[in-house]
Amino acid sequence: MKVSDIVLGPIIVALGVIALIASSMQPRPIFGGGYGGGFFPAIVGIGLVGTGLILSWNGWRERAAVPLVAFESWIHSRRHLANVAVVIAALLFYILTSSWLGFIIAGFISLFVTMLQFTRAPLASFIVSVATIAVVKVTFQDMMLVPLPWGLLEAYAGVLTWR
Amino acid sequence: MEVIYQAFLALMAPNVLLVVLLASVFGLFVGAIPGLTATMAVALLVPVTFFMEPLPAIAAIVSASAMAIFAGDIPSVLLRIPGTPASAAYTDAAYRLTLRGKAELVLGVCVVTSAVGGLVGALFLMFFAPAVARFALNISSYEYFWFVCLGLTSAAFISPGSPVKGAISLLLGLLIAMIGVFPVTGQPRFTFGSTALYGGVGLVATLIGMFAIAEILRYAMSREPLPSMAKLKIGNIFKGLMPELWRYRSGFANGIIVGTGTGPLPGAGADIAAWISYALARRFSRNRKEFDDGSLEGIVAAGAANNASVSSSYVPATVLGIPGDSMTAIVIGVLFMKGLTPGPTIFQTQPTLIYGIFLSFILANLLMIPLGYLAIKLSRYILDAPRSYLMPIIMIFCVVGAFAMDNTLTAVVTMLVFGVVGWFMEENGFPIAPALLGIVLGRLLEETFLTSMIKAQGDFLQFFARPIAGTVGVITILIWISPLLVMLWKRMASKRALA
Repeated sequence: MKVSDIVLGPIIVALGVIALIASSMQPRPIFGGGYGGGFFPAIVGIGLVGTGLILSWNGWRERAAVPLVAFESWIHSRRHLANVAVVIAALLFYILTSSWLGFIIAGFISLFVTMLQFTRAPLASFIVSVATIAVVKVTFQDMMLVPLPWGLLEAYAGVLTWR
Repeated sequence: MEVIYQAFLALMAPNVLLVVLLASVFGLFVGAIPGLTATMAVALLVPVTFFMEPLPAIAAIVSASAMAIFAGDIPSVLLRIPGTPASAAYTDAAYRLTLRGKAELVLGVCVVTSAVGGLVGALFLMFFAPAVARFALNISSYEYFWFVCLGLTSAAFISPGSPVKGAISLLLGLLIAMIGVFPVTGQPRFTFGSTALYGGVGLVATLIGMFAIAEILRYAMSREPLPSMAKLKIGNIFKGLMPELWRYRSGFANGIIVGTGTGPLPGAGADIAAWISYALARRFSRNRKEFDDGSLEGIVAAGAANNASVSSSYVPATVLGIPGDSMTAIVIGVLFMKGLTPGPTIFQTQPTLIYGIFLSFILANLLMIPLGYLAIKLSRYILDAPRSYLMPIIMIFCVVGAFAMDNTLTAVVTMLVFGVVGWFMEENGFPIAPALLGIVLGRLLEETFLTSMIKAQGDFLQFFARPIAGTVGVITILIWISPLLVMLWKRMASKRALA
């Protein structure tokens, strides 16, 4: 997805203005020459406004040749659109449900669904997903002691822990 | 010498050797798969190194990065797709030779030039870094401020694409670095009321997102299948190698010199070293036609240069704590996580560790020949690894890796957000490296500025009062205004032409 500089430029300028406003709200310390938490972000904000204006100008000069938004060929393929949607949905699903379902269940569902979408091979995806989750669980949770959430399987934590 | 011996013993500990070996295999695998970069290999490795002692942690990163840069040559030769951007300069030349039945020779040249280039770069690092450190002990926060400015500026200007987009990428990185508690007043800044952001945006989650999740998204959208591998059986890759290397010895030496010299420059990574040395080899080639039709001359030079630059890029990273590219930025982040502050004093406080890191370069480059040989032999299987299975597996490792850094889901959210942002930025020609350097160095830039201003009691001219600070400051400002000067120069030249 290519967005023209004529659109991106004002967005960068707006971001710079927001940074400037937010930095002006930072309190100034009474020591250290009076340079508070807003000083550096203000410089960054000015920089963003300046570079955003240059980008807008570049976009304006090329406005005849460059469309406002251009999509690559994947946007016309349902399969590829679904690929992208599944990756993002799988990650969101994990973020939203892992505390409740636990890593093993939420991780397995995210992995299996993504793999199935990419490969269209249900059995192989199932086997590879189970094996991957088992390897990740043993290495990260059991060996490196990362506290991955147990969720629904908390009651079986003792049985499921290899140590 | 005593310190080097101690470092050697520390590196030879069985657990460290095992980590180096595993990280090397991992680096070879990731580097050889098209689309997975050396930086991604390192980003995925960081959560695992979090649970290690500092030496094996950095040695793992060093080995994985060196191996991945070399392994990027394998698909260049066999598929005409660079495994990592550092191999892109000579992909065409390498594949042309493959089509002429010289794949074995090219692969042999790649592995040997990479190992020798990396070794010379490592020796340079080992003997040059302490000297720079002795000099750097005299520098104060004024010089640091300008060094950081120079590093960031070069990263934005040298990066591929338009300098304006490089500068925007850098500024966005700096803005992200400002999130968290402001150290002087202890007040939260840009945290949107979330206590999870008090410590700032997680570096590891950010880089896993920008380098791995963005790559998975790109794969999900890609409609081009991998080309089929050139049909050939790979035999002895070292056969007939020495006469060819001897024939192109001056190009080989030039490649090593260019790579070693480019590595420490801020903003110039292994890919830039490869492009420069390839262009130089072409410029000084005695037979330009043979060179353009595909010859070993450019491959010898650029293959040595990219690995030499990986080693020497650690000079500013370890001596000054200023990373020159994304990979050393990650190493600095890991050192900070281990409670170690890279800088000239690290040679006094942690001599065994720092020399251990240097020696790990030598070990990794020595291991490159046998392991590289094995990887080449197994290349058919590595290149055939189905990416449709691999990408979801990498995704779940990313999730757990990001989570493992601070055991919160905030890191996973950060990873997803920066994955989408990183993908969007690359799609629209915004380079990622300046943003990453901005995130890593933003706090250091602010702290050195504030410390200097407190020392100078608000007098900004003090930033130019010391000789090194003044010189570096003027150079940095000249780079800042150089686009303006170039524009004025062009305008004057066109006016003169019209008159």
